[in-house]
Amino acid sequence: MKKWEEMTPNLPTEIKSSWQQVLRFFPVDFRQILSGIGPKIYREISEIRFRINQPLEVVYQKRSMWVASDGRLVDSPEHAHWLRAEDIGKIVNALTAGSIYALEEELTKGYITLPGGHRVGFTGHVVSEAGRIRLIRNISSLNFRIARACLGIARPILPYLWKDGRFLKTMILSPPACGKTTLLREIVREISNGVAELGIPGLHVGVVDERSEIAGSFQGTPQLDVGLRTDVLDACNKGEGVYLLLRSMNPDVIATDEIGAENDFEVLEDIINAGVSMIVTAHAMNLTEAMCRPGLRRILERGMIERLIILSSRSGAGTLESVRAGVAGPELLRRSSVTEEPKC
Amino acid sequence: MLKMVGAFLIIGATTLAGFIRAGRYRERCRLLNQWLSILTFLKTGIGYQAERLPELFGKVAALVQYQELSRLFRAAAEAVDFGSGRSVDDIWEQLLQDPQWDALHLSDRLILRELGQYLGTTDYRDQVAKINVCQERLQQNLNLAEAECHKKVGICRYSGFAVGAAAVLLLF
Repeated sequence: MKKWEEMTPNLPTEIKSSWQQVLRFFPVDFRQILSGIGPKIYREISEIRFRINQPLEVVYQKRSMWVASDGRLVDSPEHAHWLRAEDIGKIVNALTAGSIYALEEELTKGYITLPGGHRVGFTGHVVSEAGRIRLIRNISSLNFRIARACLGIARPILPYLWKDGRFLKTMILSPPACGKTTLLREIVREISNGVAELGIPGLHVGVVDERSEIAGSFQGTPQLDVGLRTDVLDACNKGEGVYLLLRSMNPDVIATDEIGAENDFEVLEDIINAGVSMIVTAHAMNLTEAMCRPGLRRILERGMIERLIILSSRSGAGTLESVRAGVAGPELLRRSSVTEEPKC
Repeated sequence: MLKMVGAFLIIGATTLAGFIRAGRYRERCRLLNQWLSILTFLKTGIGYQAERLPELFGKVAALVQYQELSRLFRAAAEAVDFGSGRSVDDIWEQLLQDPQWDALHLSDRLILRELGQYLGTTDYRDQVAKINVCQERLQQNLNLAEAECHKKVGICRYSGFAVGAAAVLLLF
């Protein structure tokens, strides 16, 4: 068994998203504040957080920092730029291009996707109807999550996912914010484009992107690179989406995010019975924890998964814990970091 | 001869002024009708298609018959999209201040201005309700404007000529 470090001397990580592209979503005064952040720093900012009556916060190198009115990052909140209710209103207006009504459905899920694949999470006063969230109004907090492509991070794993001329049924397991979706997107992109060195021809990949996270679609158009032969069903639930793809798009591989509900078992079974391979992700700290979730346990025990990729954030997001040949199979690849710092 | 020319000039000028005045009554009706169509379009786009304002304004620009109005809505579409950093209220206000709407009365502008304060900021049901109210009020103004137009267009035209003729008689 090879060690991960031996296989990843210099990963070609490409930072695609420029700070200017991010700043254009904000009102002029916040653009001025945030443009004061230097280029070395903004490359490592992953989130910008706004809260009513609280200081402006960024997540820089996985650490929470405050932003001063001149764009300096400061440790003390007293020196930071404080936000008022009007500021949040202005920012919401700018992020929605003055069209909150057009994003009602997305807002009920607590986030919207912007051009470039960036995502903005919202919290505020929830209005429910018949036990379901109808809309979130009086928005009090915003979390702008910057999307960055991490090209090449899947390449060292790919040889383990391709065998006898077919893509093996794969599941990526990790806790939240450990890079599952990023790795899934990269695998999808690679197998869709084809990897000549590994003998992988370009495959038709159907993506059921329930929460617009994989392709970062804006108005139905993928904003992140998911490959040349990828068809994306955006904001569609897995159950319906998988059948739609099977009926209409003749995919070689179906990719979807965050499975684990009780009825997901039937959906995956149908994919397999249709002779199509799949790659899915699920939330779990490790295999033991995954087996405690009834929905996942059923899938794993039935041997539906041929390759299990386990990620963690032990050495930063995207730390590869292992690649296993299914639940009971041997460990094929051991712990290391999928991406080198600076993170993409 | 000189008197003749002078008389023609005076009568011509006052008649023209009368026609211009009459034209403003007709122009107001035309603009109100145009706004009612625009609001119907916005209502459909918001209520049934959930289209964003930049796209909707862009479509309105293609829909309106007059090039100048088209230009205004194209500019509004660009201003409201990502990157401008301006509020819809502000952009709407600027749109209403254009000289293209000079024929509208203050009451018409106030109705439209009020809509601008809410446009895009609430859920689609509320948006449709607000547009409906705006349309009803503009329709009332249009009815009054049309009645006024019927009554005053002829008067303006004739009075322009009559004032000119009276002036000529007094002067010469």
